[in-house]
Amino acid sequence: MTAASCASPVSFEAIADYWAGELDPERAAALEEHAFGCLECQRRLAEGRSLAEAIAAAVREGRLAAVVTETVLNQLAREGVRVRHYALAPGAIVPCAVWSDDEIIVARVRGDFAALDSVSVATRFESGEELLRADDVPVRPGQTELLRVIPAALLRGLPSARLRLTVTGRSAEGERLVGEYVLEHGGALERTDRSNSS
Amino acid sequence: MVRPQVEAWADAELARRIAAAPSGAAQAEEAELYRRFAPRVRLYGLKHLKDEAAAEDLAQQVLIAAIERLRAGGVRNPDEIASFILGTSRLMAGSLKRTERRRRLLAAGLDRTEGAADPALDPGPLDRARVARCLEALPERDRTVLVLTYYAERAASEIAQELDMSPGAVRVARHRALARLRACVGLERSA
Repeated sequence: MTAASCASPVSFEAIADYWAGELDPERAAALEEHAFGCLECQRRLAEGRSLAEAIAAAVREGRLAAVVTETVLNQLAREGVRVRHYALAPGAIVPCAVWSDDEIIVARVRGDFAALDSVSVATRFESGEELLRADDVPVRPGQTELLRVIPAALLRGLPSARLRLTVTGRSAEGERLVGEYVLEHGGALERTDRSNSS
Repeated sequence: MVRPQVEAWADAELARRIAAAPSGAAQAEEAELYRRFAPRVRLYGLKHLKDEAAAEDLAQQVLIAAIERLRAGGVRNPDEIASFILGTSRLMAGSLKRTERRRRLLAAGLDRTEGAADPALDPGPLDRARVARCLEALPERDRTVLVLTYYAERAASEIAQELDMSPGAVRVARHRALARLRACVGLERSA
């Protein structure tokens, strides 16, 4: 089932912009015109759509562990995704738990990010074993918190544990510790009748 | 089963045969045309109607209308069938009425031939867990650009402001990151 190959395939950049809604209308129309009669490009166009859709689904379904922006959290709220927030200040120990209907946990990591270019966020167990890690997270001037998204399903699978977040900043002057934060994870709490999910 | 032969014909050949046959007699050709073009119209619908059900409706309506026009000799140039179907898609995308569609489906004698996703045309939904892992493997900024673009549906100019980048840099990051994601989930094939 090989699609007939195309002499002048639509560029992947154009496809990325097309599904982003940022290809100007004339180019978008020309792209559609071509892809309608070209199996190869039709397939590439469909791939672009599958990728865009899968990205949205990964976020919406709480599958992604990442540092996000406020815009993403606003969108999740608009879509009715269940997000539980914990605010972490440097040095504080914050008790937390995951309820059975939570989909996403957000750690709002506060700190002094002044004069830093980027930070790393390491999430470890007391044993030192790493659960999650984000490197080269850009920070902007004036930023006071970092939004660390953790899939609720990931935490739900953990026993009660103390999780330590270490945020290290990097700038032209070198590295410095921004803060250490402790989440006292109380385990998964059941609101409904569901046993041992892992 | 004449199907294998039908599959070998070019789009234009199919269209000419439907147009030349007594109305409704070229059933295999009509079914093949439907099979080929319904996914394309559906994709067009996903883009412009942003709704799965509406896109599905559009695909059915457009193909039925196109086949009816072919049967009636109303397509001036069957060689340009792809353009004709795209033009019909553009015209119909605005007005979708479910009940109207049902009535026409029955009247046209075309059951839900349901364009079962053809893997050669459409990879369909991707493995969600794999996509999440691939996204996590991207550099932070690239991933954020993808999430803001395709989940939060922000324009490059808005993302640029939020991330303190230039709009041009946002687009470059978008292209690079989507290409990497595509390779990581295994969509990229050797040319």
